[in-house]
Amino acid sequence: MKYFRFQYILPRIVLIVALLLATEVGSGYFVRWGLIAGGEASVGAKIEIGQVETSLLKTRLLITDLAVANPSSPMKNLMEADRVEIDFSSPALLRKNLIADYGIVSGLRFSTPRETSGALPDRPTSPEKTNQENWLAPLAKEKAQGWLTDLESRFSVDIRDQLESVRLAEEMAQRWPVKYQQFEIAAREIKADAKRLEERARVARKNPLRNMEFLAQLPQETSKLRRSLRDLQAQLAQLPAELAADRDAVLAARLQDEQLIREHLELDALDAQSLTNYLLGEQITGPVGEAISWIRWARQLVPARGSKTPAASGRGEDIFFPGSKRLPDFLVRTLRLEGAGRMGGQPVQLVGVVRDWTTQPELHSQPTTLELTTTGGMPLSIKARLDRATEVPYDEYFVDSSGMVLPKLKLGNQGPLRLSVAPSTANLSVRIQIHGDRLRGSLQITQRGLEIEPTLPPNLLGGRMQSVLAQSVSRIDQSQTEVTLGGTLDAPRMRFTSTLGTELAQAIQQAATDVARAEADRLVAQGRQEVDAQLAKFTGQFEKFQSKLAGEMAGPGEIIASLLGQRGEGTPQIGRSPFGQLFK
Amino acid sequence: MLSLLLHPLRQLFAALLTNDSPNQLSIGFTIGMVLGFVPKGNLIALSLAVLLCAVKVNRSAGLVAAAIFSCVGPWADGLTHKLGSTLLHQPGLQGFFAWIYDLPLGPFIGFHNTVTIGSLLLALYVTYPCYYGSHLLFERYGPPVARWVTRYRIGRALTGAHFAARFEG
Repeated sequence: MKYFRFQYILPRIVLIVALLLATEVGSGYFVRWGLIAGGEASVGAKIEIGQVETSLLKTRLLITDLAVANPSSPMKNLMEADRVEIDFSSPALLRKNLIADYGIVSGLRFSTPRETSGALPDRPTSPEKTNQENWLAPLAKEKAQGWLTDLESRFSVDIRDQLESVRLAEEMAQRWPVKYQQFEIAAREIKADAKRLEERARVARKNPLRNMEFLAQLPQETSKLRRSLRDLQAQLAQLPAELAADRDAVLAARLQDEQLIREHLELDALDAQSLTNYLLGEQITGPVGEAISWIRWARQLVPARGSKTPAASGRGEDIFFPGSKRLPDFLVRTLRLEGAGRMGGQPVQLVGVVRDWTTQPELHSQPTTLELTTTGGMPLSIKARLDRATEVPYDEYFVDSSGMVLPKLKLGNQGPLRLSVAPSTANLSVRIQIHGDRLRGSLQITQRGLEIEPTLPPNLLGGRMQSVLAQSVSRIDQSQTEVTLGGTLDAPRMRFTSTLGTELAQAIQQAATDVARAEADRLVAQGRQEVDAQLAKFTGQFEKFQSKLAGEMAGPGEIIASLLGQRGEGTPQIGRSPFGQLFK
Repeated sequence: MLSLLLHPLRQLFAALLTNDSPNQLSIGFTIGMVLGFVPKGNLIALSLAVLLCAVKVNRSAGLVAAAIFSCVGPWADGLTHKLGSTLLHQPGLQGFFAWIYDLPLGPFIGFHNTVTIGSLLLALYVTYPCYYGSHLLFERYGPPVARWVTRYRIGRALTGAHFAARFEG
């Protein structure tokens, strides 16, 4: 005994006992500090804990008011829990393992808002890895929007500028009055010449000897005037044929114009898939993207099998002997979850169980499973299995819901066509498998009792299509949407088909065709009316011109006939001369 | 801060100036050597530390040795890892090590770590030469060095003797 310093040993033993007692009371503070530091390092965002109570003797841990901030969205919590209570196994603790047979998390809530930012000061906010816009075929949305924009542009362009019949009619309206005027001027000139010749002849006949020369030339002058009159009459006689040719040209152009109008308003077929992507893209990619974020988070909680466990001391290598009871550092065999939250805008109560959750799955034979059921507006049954039996992690998720109430939806929020879908009921079935990083899965939603109200911008097209489209869309009362997932967790791809898209495409196509046909008919009728009116006006003007010109030309004809001694005859008598009369 | 930096030196002079026998000095130094070699954070290191403080040996010599060999120890990790790995992979010893590992507090002992057990083996291997050599040194050079140290003010300052003399005087 002389070798031991009892004056050293005894106080230390007392000190150790006192330390154990102090640990029983105050270890909660250290555990709280450790949980916050370790949790923040792994999550990458603030972790707040109200209080931690621990008992080394009872190996029990109680955490109250836990809040884990979302590293991608610092003003939101990833999750909150009022109370986390875990009973750890004492023998496992003596073997450096945190193993709990049972734990309970109550007051669980997800995605709750925060009053202060949850970002760590020395770590930038990590945005979501995936751009959900790229999940869909990028051209599909543009294609549907392009179709609608093209439709709008077809109605907004004034096609009257391109109509040949209108152009011809306008050209006639300018050309023919000029022609009338030229004829009138020519007729007036002939009339004036005839009167002048008649006057000179009358004067000359009074004194024939003195006007012998004039009287000798009078037949030639009269013949010349008669030729001018006959030429004018001949030109006038051609006018009806010329006018008929112009009218025929206008009518032929009108037929071509009608064809042009119908071709202009002939619509391309609307691709149902593009419309589905355009309308449902945001509605589907949002929740699926959120689900994939949760899956990624779950992968962090249950990591893949490690090929080699690094030594705890950081020096050398830890060897594990065959036959030794090797346990994971952290394992919760059963963790009951109770909480509330909002899904799709609906308040839900959730109850579930996580089984065999460990951070070292290679040391535990059972896969981690989750069974969660929600009650309320969105009754869901969620089952997940995270299997790490092999080096390549394999996860599968099943989500089923029957009769869940979908809130009011707005489809196509960023485009020209928007649909408002009234609250409806739906059945949901989701199957997702992730093998390694490869994502594969499907999602099926069957909606019933659909009430869809379309909204178009209050422009030329919107005003016309609104009522027609509303009538077409009102016939759609149910839809089936199927989403196929592919790609990887970091770059997911999805393709979806929906009867809603197909039926909507048909309804929109029908409505647009009806409106386009009505518009074409209206434009054709309007063009026909305008051209007919123009032609009728021409006919009236021509008749008026003809009668006026006939009146103008009757006087010169009589004068010429009298001068030639052929009153009432249109053709001059050859051989008769003023001299014959003179010497009668 | 200065006191903290000079602490190892003071410990060394304190070891030389105490009235402990060369035997106590060399045993303390040897325990400290083993403690220094072994990685910390396991029950072996803790037990060695408790042993050093609990038995009647020179603690200062042990702490100096622990400090020195804690710096030297990582340099020998390559050798101790191979040594420990060879031992831990011996088929005949697997059951024994598995039994130790499965004991309560077994993983805290550190016998499953290659460097821990390798460095412990190496340290134990050099225990007697270390004890013998240090005993020889403390016996032969301890008293002259102690006299030389006390002769100078700096030596007295390092041992803390002048502070004691000032308060006594």
